[in-house]
Amino acid sequence: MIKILIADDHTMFVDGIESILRNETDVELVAKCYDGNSVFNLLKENDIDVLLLDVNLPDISGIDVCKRLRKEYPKLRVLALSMYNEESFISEILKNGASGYILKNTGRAELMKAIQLVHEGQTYFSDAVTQTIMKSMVKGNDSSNKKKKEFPKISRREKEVLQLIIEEFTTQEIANQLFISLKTVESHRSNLLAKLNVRNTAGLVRLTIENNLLDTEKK
Amino acid sequence: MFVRFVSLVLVLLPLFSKAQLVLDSLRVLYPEQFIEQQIDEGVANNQFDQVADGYKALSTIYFEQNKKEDALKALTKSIQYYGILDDSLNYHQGNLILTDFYLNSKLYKEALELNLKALRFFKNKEDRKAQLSISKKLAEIYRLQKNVPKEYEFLKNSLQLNNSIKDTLMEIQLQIQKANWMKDHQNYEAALDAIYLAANHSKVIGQDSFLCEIYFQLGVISQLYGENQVAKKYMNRADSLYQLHSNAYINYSSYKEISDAFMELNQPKKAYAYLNTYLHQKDSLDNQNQLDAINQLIVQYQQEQQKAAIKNLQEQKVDVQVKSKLQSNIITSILVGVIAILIGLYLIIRFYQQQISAKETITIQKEEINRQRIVDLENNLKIETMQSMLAGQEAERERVAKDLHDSLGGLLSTIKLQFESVATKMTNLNKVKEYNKANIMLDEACQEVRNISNNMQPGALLKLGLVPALKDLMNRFQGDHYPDIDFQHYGLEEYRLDNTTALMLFRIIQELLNNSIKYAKADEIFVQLTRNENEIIVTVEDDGIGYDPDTAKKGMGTENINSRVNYLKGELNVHSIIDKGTSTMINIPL
Repeated sequence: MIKILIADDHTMFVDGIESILRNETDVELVAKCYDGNSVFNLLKENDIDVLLLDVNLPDISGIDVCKRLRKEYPKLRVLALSMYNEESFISEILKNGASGYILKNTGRAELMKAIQLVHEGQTYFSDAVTQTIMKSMVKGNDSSNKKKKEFPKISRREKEVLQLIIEEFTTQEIANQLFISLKTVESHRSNLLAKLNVRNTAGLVRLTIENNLLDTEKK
Repeated sequence: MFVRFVSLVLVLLPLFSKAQLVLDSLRVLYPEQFIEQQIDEGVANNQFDQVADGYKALSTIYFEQNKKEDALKALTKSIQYYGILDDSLNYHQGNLILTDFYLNSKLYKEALELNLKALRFFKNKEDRKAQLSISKKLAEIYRLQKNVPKEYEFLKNSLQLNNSIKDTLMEIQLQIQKANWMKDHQNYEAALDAIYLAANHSKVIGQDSFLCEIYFQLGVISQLYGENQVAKKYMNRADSLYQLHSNAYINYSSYKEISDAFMELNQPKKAYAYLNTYLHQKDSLDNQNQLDAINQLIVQYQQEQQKAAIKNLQEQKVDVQVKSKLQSNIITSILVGVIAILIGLYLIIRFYQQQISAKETITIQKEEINRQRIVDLENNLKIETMQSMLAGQEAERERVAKDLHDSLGGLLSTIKLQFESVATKMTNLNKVKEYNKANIMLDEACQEVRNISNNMQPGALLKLGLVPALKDLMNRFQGDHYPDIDFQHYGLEEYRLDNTTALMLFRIIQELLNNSIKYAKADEIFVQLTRNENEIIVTVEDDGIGYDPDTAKKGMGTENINSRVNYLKGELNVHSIIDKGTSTMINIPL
């Protein structure tokens, strides 16, 4: 018998889940609550195997609940329930220890399968969720990008500014040449310093030349 | 009353001839002392025109300073001297100003005498304008004297004169006066005719200052004439005009009539209000009367002085004529002295003029600063209005998104669960086509609600921050027909922006991405967020078709971006080259 706790602020939805689980033989809904803080109280009083956790709770977010539970109840399995099918939520709650992520329009059969798999120590995601994760992996934007390449991509405009900096043009001259304001030139420079992680223009010039940043990018 | 009187004087005074330029320019600096010196000089040299102009100028200054007695004294002196000089024009014009003093002190007889004399003079000179203003004044004086036929005679005379002069403003005043006269003599029909004429003239020239009184008169006369409906209309219109312009000029005696009319029209509340005003005005008028009684004594005293002085001066004049030949030699030497003084004066004037121009420059600069402040205030107001509009819009979106997500979304999920539990109870239901179809449609509905809610306001934005929300947004532009989006961010990993800034930046970037994808048909888009100590720099670059910023400015999208950047008090720089791409940089201060 898998002992279950559900935390979701939508009472009608909780009732719906309850009525489904009541008809099942190998699961038991031990307790239910409608906010994040009650989860901790109920876990103290009951022995729970699987927590059905809504990502979007009124007091503390499901993500933060998950984070705390991982430390206090390492054996507890968390199955995230959510209306959100966005990569940000999925990856956040998975990072914080959830074993599965299902959307709220999941049917009875899928719900039971997810509970069972999670309870056995495996993972489960709704098909739509899997799709979202795949998509963002293909896209591979942001951080994963940084690890692959040594230097982040320098934009067309940044290259133009960088080229002129290396040719020892003054800020005013760069502004005139590119038909942009002094402030815009300064902003490009500051962006370049930040993304190439150098402290000043001298460092910027050195790094660019040493790594042939402009030439390679041009080719 | 006194203010009106002074303004009349100020209008009439420039008509005096021989205004001296030097005198005028020095008047600005130390007016009284200088003019008195000029007068003394004039007396000493028997330059009577200098003396007369001096006194005239002096009286103007005293009027401006509200020194009534001194003004009167100077005025009488100037009239005396103009009399001696046989300068009739200035003499009569001076007398006309004096008339107002007399009227103020209730010396009607004297005022009449002077006016009639002046009228004869200007008749001979064929100066119709002067005749008109004197006739009008005479009608007023006869009215005060309760000389009914004479009053009407001069009123008629004035109207006739104005027939050829055609001064609309004057016509209005005269018609009002006529209406009053007719009203007083129970000829309400003629009174109505006159007041309608005045109303029409007022409307034609758009002169609203009289409208209030005209409407009141229309109301009062209509009421007296028995046309209560018409009266009511005009009384109320006048009343609302009166409430609107607290400084609307109404003859004090009219208040009583207005009050009476309102009473007759069964509007006791208004009747009471106007009666109150009437009593209040009467009170202050009574006070004024006491002051006038004192003035009267002063004026009489001045008059006697004047008569004595004239005798004196006439004797002096004969003396002067005898002496003048002897003096010619002395005059030459004095002339040299005067020239020297004038040179000195010229230098002094220049010195002061420079000071004045320096002061003016400072004043102009101050005005410029003030103007700039007003512009700044207006801009701030605009930004504030826009801010509250945008904030309201976002709050509404948040509410709708939340409602959709929590209520409708939750409800749909519950329906789905209940619907499926029906299938567990009726075993063969899974095989029914319609049941499965409905199940799929329910899923679609859930998906749709999620999408709409997320478009309204991405849940990740407020819960997880700008960067995750932007990543979600870009994940949606995924596929062969979408451009590659390179997203970089620096300094925002551990830093949470406040919700408003995050929201606005999200919308801005969303709009920019939309433009690049939809309109620019870009193959590659570069999005970068950099935070340093004092600002966030947003860079969005594409390799699309580019556009001409001038023509594109009208587009709603650009407008939205602009107002949001303004909301954050940021700066927007767009650089676009046709067929090469667009680069947008936004700096938002933190």
